[in-house]
Amino acid sequence: MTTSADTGKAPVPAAAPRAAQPSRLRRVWDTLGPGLVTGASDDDPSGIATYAQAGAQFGFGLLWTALITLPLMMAVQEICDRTALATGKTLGELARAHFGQWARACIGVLIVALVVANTLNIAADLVAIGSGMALLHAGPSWLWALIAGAAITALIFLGGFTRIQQVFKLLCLSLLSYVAVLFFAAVRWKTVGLDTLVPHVTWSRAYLSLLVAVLGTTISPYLFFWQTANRVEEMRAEDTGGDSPLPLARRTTLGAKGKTRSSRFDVFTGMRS
Amino acid sequence: MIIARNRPLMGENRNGGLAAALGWATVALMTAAAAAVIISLTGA
Repeated sequence: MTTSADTGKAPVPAAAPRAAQPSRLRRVWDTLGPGLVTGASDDDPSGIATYAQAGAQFGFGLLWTALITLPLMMAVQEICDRTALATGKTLGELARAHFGQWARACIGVLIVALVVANTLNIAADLVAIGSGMALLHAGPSWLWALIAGAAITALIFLGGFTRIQQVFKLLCLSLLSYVAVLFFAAVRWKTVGLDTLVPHVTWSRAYLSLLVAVLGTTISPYLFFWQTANRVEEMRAEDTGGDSPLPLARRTTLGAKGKTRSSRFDVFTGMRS
Repeated sequence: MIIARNRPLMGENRNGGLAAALGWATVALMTAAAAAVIISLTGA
């Protein structure tokens, strides 16, 4: 065997072990983040309750709204996400910086209304979590509502963005249970197809009220704010740019294109969930 | 929507035609839904 001492050449370092390439599934999972979490948050308990009420009262009769709201939601969320990517600022910051006094006052009133609506929405969600656990005979609903509220509050205060993002992403997997249900429920696919493609509007107060409720719970304004805030936090957590989010314009052309593409994939996946 | 079409702010990432059309359609739909809620609350 010839050694470096025999040949008089400097020792050649052994080739560094090739870094293990993450699997395709892992890369897809890593790409998902703010878009997935925001999209999944649209399926909150109060939303599920509204959809369940629509199904109980009108069967598949309101399914056609999904065909209309899905592309609209995807577009609006993508627009919100793009503003955060391009500017590194949240929707609230942008509104404050670029609108005049009157517009800011109007937005302020709307945000106060949004805070009230969100507070009620959070309360409804916590009650729904408690009711869900009570249905599973896990204990009183108030106790589980309290536990859920305390756990989420602790996570927000004690966990960093990355930890919260990981927990929320894992929780998104619970939505796969809806897919599993399809294998057990006797679904009349012909009716589903017809009611999705051909709207049957009933001109009754109950139908129209539920139609508005479905639209309101599907296209919720808090999602616009959350999408941008979540994206900005994600950009802050990136290695580049330090603590400040690095807008697309300050990235390399290739980096900006890659970020735009992966963020769009993230948002569209979230909206379809 | 106003911010997303702002060229100095958004640069080449400003809204294209399709995004603008879908975005404004959403604005119209949500305005109609909000109006319907107000009408139903006032009992008109």
